[in-house]
Amino acid sequence: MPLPTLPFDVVVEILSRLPVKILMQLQCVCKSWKSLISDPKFAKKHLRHASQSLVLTVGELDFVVIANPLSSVFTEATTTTIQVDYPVKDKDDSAAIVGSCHGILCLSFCSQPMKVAVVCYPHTLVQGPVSNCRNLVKVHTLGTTSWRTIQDFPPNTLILNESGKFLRGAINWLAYRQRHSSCWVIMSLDLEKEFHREIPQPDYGGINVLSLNIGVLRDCLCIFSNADTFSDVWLMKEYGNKDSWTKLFRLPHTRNLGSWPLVYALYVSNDDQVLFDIEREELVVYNSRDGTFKDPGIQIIDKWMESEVYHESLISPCF
Amino acid sequence: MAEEVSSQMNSLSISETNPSSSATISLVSGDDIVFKVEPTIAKEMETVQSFIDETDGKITTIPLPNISSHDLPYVIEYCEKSIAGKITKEFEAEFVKKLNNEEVKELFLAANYLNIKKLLDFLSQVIADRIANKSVEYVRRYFGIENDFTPEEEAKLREELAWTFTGVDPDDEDEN
Repeated sequence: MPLPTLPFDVVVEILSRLPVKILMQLQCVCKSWKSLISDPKFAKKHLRHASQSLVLTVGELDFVVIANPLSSVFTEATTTTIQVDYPVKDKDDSAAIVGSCHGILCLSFCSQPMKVAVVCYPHTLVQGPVSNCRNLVKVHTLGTTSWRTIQDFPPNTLILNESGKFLRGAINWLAYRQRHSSCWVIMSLDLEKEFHREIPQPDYGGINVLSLNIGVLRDCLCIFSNADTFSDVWLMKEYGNKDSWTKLFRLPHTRNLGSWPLVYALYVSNDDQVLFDIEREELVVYNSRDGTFKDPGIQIIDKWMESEVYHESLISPCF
Repeated sequence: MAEEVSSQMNSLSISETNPSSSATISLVSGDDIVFKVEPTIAKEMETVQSFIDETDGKITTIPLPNISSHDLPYVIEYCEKSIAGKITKEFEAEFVKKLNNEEVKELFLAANYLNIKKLLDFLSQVIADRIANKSVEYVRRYFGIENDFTPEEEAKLREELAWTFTGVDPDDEDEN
């Protein structure tokens, strides 16, 4: 009996479940597979089945990037650290993670004249304010040469560049507003409509908030309100709806984090274990069900290191 | 399972019986073996169900020429578990453990022909896992694909993609 062959449409189903590296290799199978694997529509389908997620850690002074599988962080399994090639040859410039989405990681380098704020949409770069023009927000579409200025961005609003988080087609920043009285606001910029608005914050419940950080957990915007001995994690279940803010849990601090705590949750697992970045110095896994801490087994590569969860994808920024 | 199959062996005859809701459905494999299943099982198989619906339920014997008597019991077993809500990771691991790569492919084709979404999804993942560390040559043979690159084109492509060609298992001749 001749070997049965599989119809092309079901082959697509199988291929969309393979890791990126294998798919790159399988472009050698035949011409139709090569065009399928390089098709942006296939890249989107593949992203939905997101085959592998990694925790990327960048040492800001030692020019090192490492990757650890996200799955091993929450289990007792030994973590296999992958050394990632440092993206620039010229190692006189320290890198910082700006953001990661759709399989694209954006780094910024301090000495370059323009600080790029975030790569969001597959093809869009957004530049936050640079020091001499604090209130300008500019958007750049990859493949073009120009930057557009976002009109009417509220004056006296200082964006924290590194706080930009991509969600629901918009970047969300933490910003400091100096008007009648100074306060923290969450600013959102819709990248398609290039429209900005303020996102309401939760009622922090009378605690003395020393600092705030924002992030994305379970596909929802979240905010970490840091007090002297603990941080509260708030989740906005319905984007833009003030009433949908829910307090997930309280993370106790295990040491004194000073007057300006920097606490950021990178990921929460299905069984409520949370990967935290504390002060850019250490990564810890906090089990919010039983209140225990665990070492995620990620190597300390620098005194000051930034981490981000990265979902691999076939999406290419097509410069 | 073997005893069950032999007791269900009947000569193929498409009989028009008076349908009742509890009547069993006879599925006839490509090699003429009859498998009697409950109507609820047939519902899991979209192709079978639409055949029954088209004939207003009069025909309860369905020929499945593309599916062998080797594969059909597996399909039925999966559908039974699915109806009972008993598809677990453990069951699925056990289910495919005894199948080699060619058998998984045949079962996948059967699930595709019968249009059983859950089984298709599951087997897509099984095949993906099993070919993940195989050579390009193995994948071509497995999918029955002819290489339409010229040797020069392929050599150039392989050079560009050199970074991806690490950790490939040597081909296992038994599975070809």
